[in-house]
Amino acid sequence: MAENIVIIRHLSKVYTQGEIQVIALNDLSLEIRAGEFLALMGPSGSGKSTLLHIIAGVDRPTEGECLVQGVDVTKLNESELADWRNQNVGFVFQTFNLIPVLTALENVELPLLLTRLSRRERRQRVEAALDIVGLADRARHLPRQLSGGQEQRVAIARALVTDPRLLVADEPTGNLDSHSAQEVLGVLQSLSRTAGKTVIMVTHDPKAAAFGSRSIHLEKGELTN
Amino acid sequence: MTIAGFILKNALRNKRRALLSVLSVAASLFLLTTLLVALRELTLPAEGAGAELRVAVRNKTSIANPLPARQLPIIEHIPGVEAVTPFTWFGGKYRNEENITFAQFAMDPAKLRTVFGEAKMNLEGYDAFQAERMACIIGRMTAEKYQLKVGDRMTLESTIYPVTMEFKIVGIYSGTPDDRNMLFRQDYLNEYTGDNGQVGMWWLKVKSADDMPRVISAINRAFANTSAEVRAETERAFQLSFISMWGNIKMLVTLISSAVVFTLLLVTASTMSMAIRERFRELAVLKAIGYRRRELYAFILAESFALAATGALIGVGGAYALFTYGDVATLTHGLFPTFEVTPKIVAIGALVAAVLGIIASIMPGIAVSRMSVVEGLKTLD
Repeated sequence: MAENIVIIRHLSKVYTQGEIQVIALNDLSLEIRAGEFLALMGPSGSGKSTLLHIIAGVDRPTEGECLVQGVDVTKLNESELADWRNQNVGFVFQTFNLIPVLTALENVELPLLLTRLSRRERRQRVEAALDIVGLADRARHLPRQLSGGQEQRVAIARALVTDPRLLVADEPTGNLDSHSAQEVLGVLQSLSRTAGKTVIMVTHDPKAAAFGSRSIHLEKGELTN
Repeated sequence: MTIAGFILKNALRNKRRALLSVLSVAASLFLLTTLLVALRELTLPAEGAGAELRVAVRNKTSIANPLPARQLPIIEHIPGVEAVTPFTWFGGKYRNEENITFAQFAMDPAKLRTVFGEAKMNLEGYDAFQAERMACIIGRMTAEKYQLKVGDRMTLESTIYPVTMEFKIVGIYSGTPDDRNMLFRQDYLNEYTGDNGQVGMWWLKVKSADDMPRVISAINRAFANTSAEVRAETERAFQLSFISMWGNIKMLVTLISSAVVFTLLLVTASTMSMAIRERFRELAVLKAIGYRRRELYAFILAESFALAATGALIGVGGAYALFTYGDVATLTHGLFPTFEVTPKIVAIGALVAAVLGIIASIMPGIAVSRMSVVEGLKTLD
């Protein structure tokens, strides 16, 4: 049985707005195995994106532990978190978030500019990542010259290029038509199955969740299954 | 792709805005450079070669009061004095012009080359100036302005003396900091005015810089407690006494320059804030994929700096090219004879641009640094 890549214990997140307190996550505990493709489901406001953000190290819990590959990300400072994210997590967003003035190749190269890799090594990695998502022939295209599905696949290549073990995707098919969504989900599924990547995907679409190896449901900040 | 390439692409993503911003910085820095050059020209007249050995002697009461011609042999015999010449303001108007458009002074032609050695003129000019009673020499700029040449005659109506005098141009000189003056013979002036035994001032040259303090002191002492006490001072000190009259203009130009810099700062800061504000989500994404606060701030600073530096290159560089290779003296009818963009002024322009680039990046830099990834991603959702 695969090791646990994510271990969450008694995680809580409370947002304070004036005198009102909103509980986003309530004493949540969870384990995610390496290589899993986990679909995180739930209605709006259930806390699934908050959970994803904490696992990815872009948000902090109010209480609890979140160990990712043995590192408690809640204990890292801003600078350490930035380095950790660069080396250990790949992000895929709902709205792709590519830089419009950069080509697909340059967008994918962005995380590598922080590394000590040579130009040639960076180029090789970028081409390999674009090849994995089937867009090697679109490397010189600007985002506006690509379809939505292609843009999201470029975003997946950008998430992959540093070779992280963990990919987090927040509603990656939310802005896509069904055909493009199938393509993107297929890529994520393949990364989990063949490359051994752990994929955590937030979705409220059961069809998308069906591509995952496991689904969990959140409601009012708590797991329901 | 390189980091520099990334910054450049970001800076040029809205080309029209980038162009307008650069042009506004360039225009402001051009104006600032122009003001600084004008201020320098008004307040710090360039020193000519030999100025460090020249002494101006004027009436202690006022420069408008003349000095007795009998002082000459006393000054000449002071040890360290090489040559002395009278220097009498004529205040003549040329060609019925309303104002005095160039200065005229009566002097001893034999002392011209010794006292004002930086004036370049052909030998015939020097010889004729000494030989011909009506001779005068004029600066290159005045000759060009009025299209005068050697052999021409010019008539000047004095505003000091009740005379109108005719002169013959025997030489055109150049090489002084202000090639506009007209010089003629003191003895010719004396003929017209009836030789009242007075001169306007004395200008003299000392033998060495070491002699300067002693000679000045000796001259002042020599005429102390006489009916015509004098004030001897270096040429530089004499010029500075005139500069003090420009006090208010100096303050005005300084105020305008400050307003220009302040406006420039607002324009640049506003441009940078807008440019960064519309990229908040992208910056949040960069943060998410591992870019730290300092790296994001470096991007913003570099972009802001590039904007200011390009503006400076065009604005200050344009001013340098225009004022160095253009004929400002002619354009301003001789008001600004040199209008030189000095290395110091270029440095001030570059420094203003650099400070501008840094200050304009501070507010957006702080905003990006404070932004959390989650907030940033939500901003434009």
